[in-house]
Amino acid sequence: MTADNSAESEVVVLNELGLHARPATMLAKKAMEYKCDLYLIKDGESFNLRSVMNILMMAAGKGARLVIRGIGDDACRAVAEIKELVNSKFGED
Amino acid sequence: MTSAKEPENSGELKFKGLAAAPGIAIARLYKIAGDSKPEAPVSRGIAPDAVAAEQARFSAALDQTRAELLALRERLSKEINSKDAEIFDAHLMIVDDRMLYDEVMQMISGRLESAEYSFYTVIERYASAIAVMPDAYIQERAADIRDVASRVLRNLQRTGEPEWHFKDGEKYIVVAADLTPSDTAGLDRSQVLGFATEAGSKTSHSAVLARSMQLPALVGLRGFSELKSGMPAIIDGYTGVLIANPSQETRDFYEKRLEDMNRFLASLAQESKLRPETQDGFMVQLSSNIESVDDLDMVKRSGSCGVGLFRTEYMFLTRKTPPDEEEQLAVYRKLLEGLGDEPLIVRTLDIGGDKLDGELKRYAENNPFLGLRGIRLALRERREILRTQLRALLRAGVYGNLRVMLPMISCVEEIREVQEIIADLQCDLGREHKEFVEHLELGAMVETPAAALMVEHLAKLVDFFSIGTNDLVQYTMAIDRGNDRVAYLYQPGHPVILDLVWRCAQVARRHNIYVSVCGQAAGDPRLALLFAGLGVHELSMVPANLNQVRRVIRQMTMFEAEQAGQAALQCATSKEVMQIANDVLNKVAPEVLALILADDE
Repeated sequence: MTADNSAESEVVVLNELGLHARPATMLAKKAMEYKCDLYLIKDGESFNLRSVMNILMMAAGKGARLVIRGIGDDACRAVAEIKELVNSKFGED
Repeated sequence: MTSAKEPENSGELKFKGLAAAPGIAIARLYKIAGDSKPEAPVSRGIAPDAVAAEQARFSAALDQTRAELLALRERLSKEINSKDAEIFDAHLMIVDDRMLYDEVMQMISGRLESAEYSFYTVIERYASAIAVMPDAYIQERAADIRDVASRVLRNLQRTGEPEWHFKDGEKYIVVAADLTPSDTAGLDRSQVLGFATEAGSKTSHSAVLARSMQLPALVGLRGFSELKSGMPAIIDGYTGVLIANPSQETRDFYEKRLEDMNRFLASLAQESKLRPETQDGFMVQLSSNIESVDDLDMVKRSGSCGVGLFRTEYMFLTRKTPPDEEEQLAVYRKLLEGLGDEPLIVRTLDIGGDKLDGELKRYAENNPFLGLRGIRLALRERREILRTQLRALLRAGVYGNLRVMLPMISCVEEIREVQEIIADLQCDLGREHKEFVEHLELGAMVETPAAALMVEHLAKLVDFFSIGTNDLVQYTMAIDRGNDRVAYLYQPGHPVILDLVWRCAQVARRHNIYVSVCGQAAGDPRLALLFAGLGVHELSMVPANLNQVRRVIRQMTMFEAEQAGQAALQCATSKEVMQIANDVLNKVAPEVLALILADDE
């Protein structure tokens, strides 16, 4: 795995309820749009971003610090856009 | 069979449903447990050569679950606000979960476990992990996962053929939460006298199939859970009632009714060789709707003039891979040779909507009836199937009087495109020195309002029209025919439907091409006489209805029918239309009217 086709970025869960069903669904749906493999890393444990159930199992509440990691051709764009989605609080008020 | 005096006859139970196929059946119930919560599957292992089949079964169950969830979400989004319907998005994402899919597939192949057990083990692992999460909100998602899981398991357990455990010589009425068209087609007619399902509407495919199989049937049955296997029961496919544990009085009543009905039908059957000619000398072609070569006997017996609709879907749906050219050729040839000079109208594959199954079920659409179905699907995504079918038909044409019609036409390009394919195939066949027909008689089905309103243009391209009233009513009235909440709007006698039929017949007459009606409505003697009066040349129906329609045609004059047809066009409601038809029928064939009125109660 070379450095030039992978990307990483840290993000903090901002929305009130954390990564519950709807945000998890939105994340997994979003992750399907890219070619690269995508993971969320929490406390050193890595979870597949394409799996709603994996995301739910992270139990990432508000304030959780996560790393988004992408490996593949469009990793850079994918990581940036997913970070934006998390930062947008998934459209919750 | 039960003896005359039986103590269990005391507690008679009556259940209401929708009459889906006429007739009366008296037999014991055979219940297929359907909607109960599936039990946790046990590990039982599978043979290495069964891996592919188990994996395919798992994929099919996921596909079916996805389709169900999409339909559910669609329905809910109309009834409640769309935010709430989004909960199904989460369910859908679980069905589409890549990890879950991969893990289950691996478990089937790696540990040689059944699809049920593998799926259950994997998903339960997720569900139980999520159920103990510190966050209460996330804990609740375990319920979503288990909800989806039970749906998938139910579908897994149903994807196989239902297993029948019939006792030798015993007759049954099958009751089930739902029967797929292939379940229905697979019923053993020597032991099953009728069926009733909790799901479905009068025009669902299983209901259509039941009529064509001449199997009394009810759909939309209430109180399903109170029925038990082994209960003596009666189903009345005329009034839509199921009576469990009938009293002796009820039983006597129905036994007499069954006898009367059989006697009347037998008297009609004696006329099956008579020409369907009106009193004033006009012939109305009466033909049959069929779905398999096995129906040929019934066509012959009913004195039908050939086949007005051969639905080729069943040839495809009852198996995993589509039949190849030679196999199809053999089927068409057998039918054509069996029919002699009489015409055979083959409808090209009309897949879509509720008929999707097995291998062909690859397209989950929110609104399949408005989606890629019929000729659309054939031309855009399953062109190879269409080409193979047309090749087989071009070759079969030399063995008899073959016509081919295209389903779901909504614009002229579709016909032109098929004609190009035909020309292309003829070129190939010529090069290969195969025998084929130079001119394949081609017809357009008129079953969308678009087609009905542009018959003038279609007439220049085709040799005939066939009006498919089931779909034409559905699309004109804007109702989903699987939805029993709008079933009341399913009105084939609506003045606007008659108006479309009239347009079609007028244009056909001007262009000197012929027009047939092949929907269910053609078998209703009241509508049959109106259609004939509006200038339709051929009525194609389930063979079971031919004799009653023949009796009406033979006893009416075309003059009366035309007058009734014109009067019907002036009506504002279906009710007025049916009143006109009833009046004519009451005059020319009151005995037939009595039979249908029992049906309409």
